[in-house]
Amino acid sequence: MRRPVLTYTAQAVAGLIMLYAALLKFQGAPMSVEAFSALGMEPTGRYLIGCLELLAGLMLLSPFAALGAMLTAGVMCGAVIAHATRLGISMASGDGSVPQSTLGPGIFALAALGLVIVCALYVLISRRKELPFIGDTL
Amino acid sequence: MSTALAIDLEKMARAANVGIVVLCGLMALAGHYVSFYFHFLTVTLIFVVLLNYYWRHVQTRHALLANFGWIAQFRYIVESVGPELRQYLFASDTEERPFSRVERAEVYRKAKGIDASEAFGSLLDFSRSDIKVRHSFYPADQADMKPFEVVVGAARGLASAYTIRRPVMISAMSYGSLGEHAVRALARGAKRAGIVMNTGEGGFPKYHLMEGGDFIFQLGTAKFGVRDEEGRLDETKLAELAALEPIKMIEIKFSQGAKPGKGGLLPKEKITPKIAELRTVPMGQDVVSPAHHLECKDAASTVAFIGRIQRVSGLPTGIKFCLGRTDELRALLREMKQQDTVPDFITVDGAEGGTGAAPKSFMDYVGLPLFEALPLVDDMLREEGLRERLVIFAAGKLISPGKQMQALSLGADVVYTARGFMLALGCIQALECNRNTCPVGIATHHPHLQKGLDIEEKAGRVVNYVEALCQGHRELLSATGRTATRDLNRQNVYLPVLSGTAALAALPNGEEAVA
Ligand SMILES: Cc1cc2nc3c(=O)[nH]c(=O)nc-3n(C[C@H](O)[C@H](O)[C@H](O)COP(=O)(O)O)c2cc1C
Repeated sequence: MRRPVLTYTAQAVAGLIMLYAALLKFQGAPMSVEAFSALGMEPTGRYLIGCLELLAGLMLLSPFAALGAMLTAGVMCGAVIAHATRLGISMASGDGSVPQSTLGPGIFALAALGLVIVCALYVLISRRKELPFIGDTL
Repeated sequence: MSTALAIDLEKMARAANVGIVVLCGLMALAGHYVSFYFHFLTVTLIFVVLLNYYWRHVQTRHALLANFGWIAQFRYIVESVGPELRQYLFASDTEERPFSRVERAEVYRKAKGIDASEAFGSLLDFSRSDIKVRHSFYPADQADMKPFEVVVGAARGLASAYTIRRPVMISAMSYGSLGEHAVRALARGAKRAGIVMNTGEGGFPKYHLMEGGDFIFQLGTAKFGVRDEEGRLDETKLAELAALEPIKMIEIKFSQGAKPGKGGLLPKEKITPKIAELRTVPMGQDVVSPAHHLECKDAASTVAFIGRIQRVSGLPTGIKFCLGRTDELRALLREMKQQDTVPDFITVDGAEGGTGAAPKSFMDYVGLPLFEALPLVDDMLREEGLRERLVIFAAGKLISPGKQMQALSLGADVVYTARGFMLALGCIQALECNRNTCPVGIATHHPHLQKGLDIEEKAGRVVNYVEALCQGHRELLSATGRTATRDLNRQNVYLPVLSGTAALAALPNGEEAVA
């Protein structure tokens, strides 16, 4: 049984973005530090989320892609909550000094967020049978 | 109150289903007003709520999940780990099947060369009557023991007659059901221990031959390794194979205890280039193992076929079956006399035998158990005057010296075991031989699972196991007052009078003047 190329593509896209996101967290990119400060989670939460993103990214690129997709979806769900309740869209610009910049890096980061969510959900759905325990029921 | 403790599952489920939604909302609030960390729980609960919605309102395959939601999952989870829990925690030492922990531990200790003596008393239940070995008032001295020796093919005066020098042999297990490492470890151990190994019906025994040693080539109903395109015998291939030095005997398999009267199907997905080559089957299509040899339709054609194999191979040739109908066996034996074609050995496989894969109903409900079949076959051979012209091999859970001694007393000349040797290789009875997932790398072809099975290390276990078995044989034999295994007979066993074995106890051959 050949698995559609689309699934592998989605895994690769989501996986690489997650790894890059993890890298930003560990490097302490100003955008991340700012966001996590606003959430009151700096720096523990930043590292914690970074670890989860790293794990999810690696899993998406491995035979455990189904679990990786689930983890990705979870982290991204958290990100959506954060933007919806605390950060707003402008924070994504990562440049506190120019608060109302809605174009540029902000839009770019948001697009990445959307792309990851779409890819992760696609992988999760097409590989749902592989999930441990609950896979058989889906 | 008898109802006081009863759990209203439906109410509980409803509470649980509403509960997760409420909890999710609470966590969201806490995440917002207390600490963002609470959102870890919010997110997790969102997943559970979504999944639960799917289970209850979308999917239709699982009634329990549709009716009760997520708490029903507990049942599935507990059920899925049930076998492991039972094996590790709850099964008592003597109740597991097919082999209890007590039986397995004995093999493990023998294979590891550890002292197998026990203290205080037997763990078996003596009120449930088992067959026992009868000892003598006058045990024989070890010094008087005669070496074990059974010659196969002697009655026909074959130049290729083979002398078996140890009472135990490795029963048929095909390459295919076993992986390459297991086959090689068994073959290497067999060679070192000086015992015979059956190749099983896996085709050309390439991995066996790598290790050298003495083999019985098994000719299965699909004739893997020596078949033509239609699955009939290819005489040239058989002659070539029989000419190989390590091939000492041929065993024609008619049936096997775990699935008597049942053929098999080798699905095309499982036919790797390696398997296709060794079994001489084409790639890309399913291969049927018929339930019977295409050449054999009745007693006459069956005996003729046996004669043909004897002629083509020039080797001692025997047949393996699990006993079904005795009238058919009688007719077969008479036909043998008629055509003056007698197999050089008969392997009686008990219905309790093992397998790589078989339908459950065949495993559980078809065929005669070994200790019923063996005396019947032995007696019938005597009645037909054929007993001196062939030897009897027996298989069926004979993994300890005690059981083997009983089989030898009930008519067998040499015993076979398959699973005894699997246990010696480190089998933990995970019961997954048919799934290619064997955790100890025996019944699997996965390289990473086989990695754990070190051929050299396990070959040593095989040798230890054989040595310990033979040691046990000598001790038991001495206790029966006999000095040679061939002197054992039904005097040496106690057959409890159960419904099934009542007839056995009354069999005439049991009486014999005490030597
Ligand atoms: C994994 C496995 C594979 C087997 N393959 C064969 C086979 O190819 N041909 C055959 O005649 N019997 C086969 N058998 C049956 C055994 O040779 C033997 O008759 C049976 O297991 C009884 O012996 P035991 O109780 O000592 O295991 C197989 C058994 C097992 C466990």
